[in-house]
Amino acid sequence: MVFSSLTFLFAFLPITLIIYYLVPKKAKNVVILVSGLVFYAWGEPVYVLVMILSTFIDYTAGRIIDKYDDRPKIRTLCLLVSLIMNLGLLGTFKYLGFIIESLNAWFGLAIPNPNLPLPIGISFFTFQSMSYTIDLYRRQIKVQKNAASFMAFVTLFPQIVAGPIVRYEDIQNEIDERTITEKMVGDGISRFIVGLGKKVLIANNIGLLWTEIKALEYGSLSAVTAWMGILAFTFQIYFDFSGYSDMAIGLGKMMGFNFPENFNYPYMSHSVSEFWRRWHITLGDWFKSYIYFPLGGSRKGLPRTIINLLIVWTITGIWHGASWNFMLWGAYFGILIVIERLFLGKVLEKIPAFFSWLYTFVMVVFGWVLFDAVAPGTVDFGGVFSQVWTYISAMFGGNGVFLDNAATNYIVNYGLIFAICIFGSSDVLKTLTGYIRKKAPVWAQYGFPVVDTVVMLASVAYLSTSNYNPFLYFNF
Amino acid sequence: MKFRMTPAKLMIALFTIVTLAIPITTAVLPKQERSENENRTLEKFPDIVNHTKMDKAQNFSEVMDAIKWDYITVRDKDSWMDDFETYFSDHLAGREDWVRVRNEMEKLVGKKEINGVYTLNDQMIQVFKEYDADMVQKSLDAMNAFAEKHPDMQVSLMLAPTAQELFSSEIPTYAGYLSEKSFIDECYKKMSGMTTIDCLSFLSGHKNDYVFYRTDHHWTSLGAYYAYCAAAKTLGYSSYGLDSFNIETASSSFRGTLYSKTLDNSITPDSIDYYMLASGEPTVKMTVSDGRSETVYDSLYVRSYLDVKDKYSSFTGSNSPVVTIETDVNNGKNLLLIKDSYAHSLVPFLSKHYSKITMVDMRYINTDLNNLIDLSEYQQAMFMFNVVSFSSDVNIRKIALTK
Repeated sequence: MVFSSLTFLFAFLPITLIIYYLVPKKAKNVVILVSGLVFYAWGEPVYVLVMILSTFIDYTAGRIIDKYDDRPKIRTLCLLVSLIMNLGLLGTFKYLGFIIESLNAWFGLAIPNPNLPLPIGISFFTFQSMSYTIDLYRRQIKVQKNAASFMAFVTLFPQIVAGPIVRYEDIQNEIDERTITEKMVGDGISRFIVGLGKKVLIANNIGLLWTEIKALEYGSLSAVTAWMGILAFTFQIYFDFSGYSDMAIGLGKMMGFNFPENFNYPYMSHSVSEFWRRWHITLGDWFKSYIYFPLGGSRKGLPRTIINLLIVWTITGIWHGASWNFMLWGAYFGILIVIERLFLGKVLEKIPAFFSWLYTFVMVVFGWVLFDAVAPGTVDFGGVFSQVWTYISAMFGGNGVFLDNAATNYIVNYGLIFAICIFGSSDVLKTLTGYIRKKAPVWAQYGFPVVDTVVMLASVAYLSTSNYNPFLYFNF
Repeated sequence: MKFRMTPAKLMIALFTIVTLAIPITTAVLPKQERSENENRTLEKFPDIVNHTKMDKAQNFSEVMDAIKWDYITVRDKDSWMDDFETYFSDHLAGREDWVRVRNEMEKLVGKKEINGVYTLNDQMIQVFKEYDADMVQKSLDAMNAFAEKHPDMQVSLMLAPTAQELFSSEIPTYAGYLSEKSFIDECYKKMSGMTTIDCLSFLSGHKNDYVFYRTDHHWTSLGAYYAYCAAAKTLGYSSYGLDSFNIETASSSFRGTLYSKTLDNSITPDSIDYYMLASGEPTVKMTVSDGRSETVYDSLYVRSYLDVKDKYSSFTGSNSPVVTIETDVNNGKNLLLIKDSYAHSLVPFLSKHYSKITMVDMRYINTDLNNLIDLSEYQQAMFMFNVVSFSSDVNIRKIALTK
């Protein structure tokens, strides 16, 4: 199920919340567990078994690791079982097809591709489960002995499909003992509606433009069209993904959880390194904790640091999808971050803020070309490269046209939406609402809930009438 | 304890009202089976059982088949959950008002075209954006072949422009809409063995005379009148002047197909006008055949349609495979009209000049026309389509089946 559907908003959510608030404290985790399974099974009836299996193994591994605290070999074995199982699931469902296709292409083989459909959210729930066994192995957290509570952690529906990647450490106290205050619920609702509006009103609309431009022949795009297309995607992915995180965080609050933040105005960054501290924060933290630091981080000298960075960023790229362009996208950021670490970072600090922002934004936008200007199903490296190359050269006027009728038409039809996107992805709105809260606190306190309600109704108007509701993060 | 309204309580109250009121009203309100505006049957409540391959499996091998990876997680079709979502949105309380809200917001952010409809001040326009040249060529070839096979018949072609061409000067060029005039010229150039009727030049001077409905994609009776003048000139008879007609406004609350796409109530509803000869209408017998049964009318106007949404169908009834109109004009001239619905409001004018007019609609005919009518009766045949429907029609080529 996705949050931006009538079924979720007007059937699943009210029913779940009513039951959740009515049952006694002890039974709340059972409500989370059952509702999570229903949420997941809605559309993935069979793969829910995959998740139950994964949860069962991690729970058992955790219990054993805890029980044999003084038997290092047993502990290591349990950790390995958990890692192999989680990574094995990820590998089988997400990467097997890509690996087979690549082997076939390179060596002229004909290994049949099983074409397994990707279980929703598998990249998220395997990472969350692994954080539990790894942290337990490192003795950073306490074991969860209650199977229902552990399962509730994995199946907690707000974050099951698209994050944020909530590590067990983040909610280990709340999973057993949490208080739900009136303010938390109110704030949660407000946060949820903000996310819904970002997704339905902004991301879906600007996404229409990218869908349209992406379908055109790259070799004949005017420069302005090419820029508008990739900028449309730049905003679409931000509002889609951060909107989804906002909804998850809001729903979490409504249920008494404080999830970690996932976005912090990434498009206002002044270096690529900073961008990655503000974009999909929980993923960056995960890779830092479980890959970068174990590899030695930056403590083993410069050459090793550079290698570590490149490894982490390439893996980050692949995490986003089993295809060459995601790997390239990851490596691209790895290289930029290495360059910034070597010398560019210092330069960026010295030049006027506008230029360091512009550099960062443009680099990120080129990154999105690698990420999404490639037709899905392009398996060969050459195909990926030529599409990306054609698109980028179109951005530089390589097709000999700077502005054409189509581009003018896009500007007229989407100009205002772009303005809203720029406004919405900066912290201007935050400053503005902060100002209003200070100057007219009573008006703000009672006025904002009304504004939120209007946003919700507007979102329903779009949801109920447009078939255009693709969900970008299903496949990651 | 005294109740105090806090901001959090207000937020919770508003959210609760919205999330409960919408599903409850939706559940309680009576369900409609059809959407008139969308012209389709709405989704029925999905069957709880029998929705996946697994549920439908009757024996062991079908169960094994259903277990195959390809079939277990069919996300987009056939699943009960997706049908439920469609059902919910089809029957959502106040559904059309939600669409209106959405369209108003679209206009607010600067979108000029909604659901393929471009709105000028008080005029909706169905846009002509693209067409498949191969498909058009096939239609043209089929018509040329028909003319070649029937050398004794005077064959003609009339391609009618739509509102977009008349209002093209008011639509910015960057909108990227195609020129209907060039399209018609291109097509006419490729015709052989037939005359082509230039109704655009007869219409173009009358842009502001209400020749196209504001809320429907058809031309008005007045628009059809100018096309009739163009046809008369080519087909060799003199047309009646406008002043020979008494105009009866049969309805002034017509909201047509373009309205259905935008649901924009701010556009003035249209009127349906019948042009009656002041000197007396010819007596007619109209036989509508849907292939199985025949219905006979003594008028070209089926007034029962004036009471329903689809008021344009009061002109000779809705689209039917074969409609035969016999008049007391008694000049022995018979016309075969191979057409789309634009012809329906044109026929009342043409009927003044023929003993018999037979309209055939190739969308409903899959056979040699000789099986349905006696082609030798007709001295004239006219192909009559509007540009937008012609450019996307895959049925006209079936005329090639006719020997």
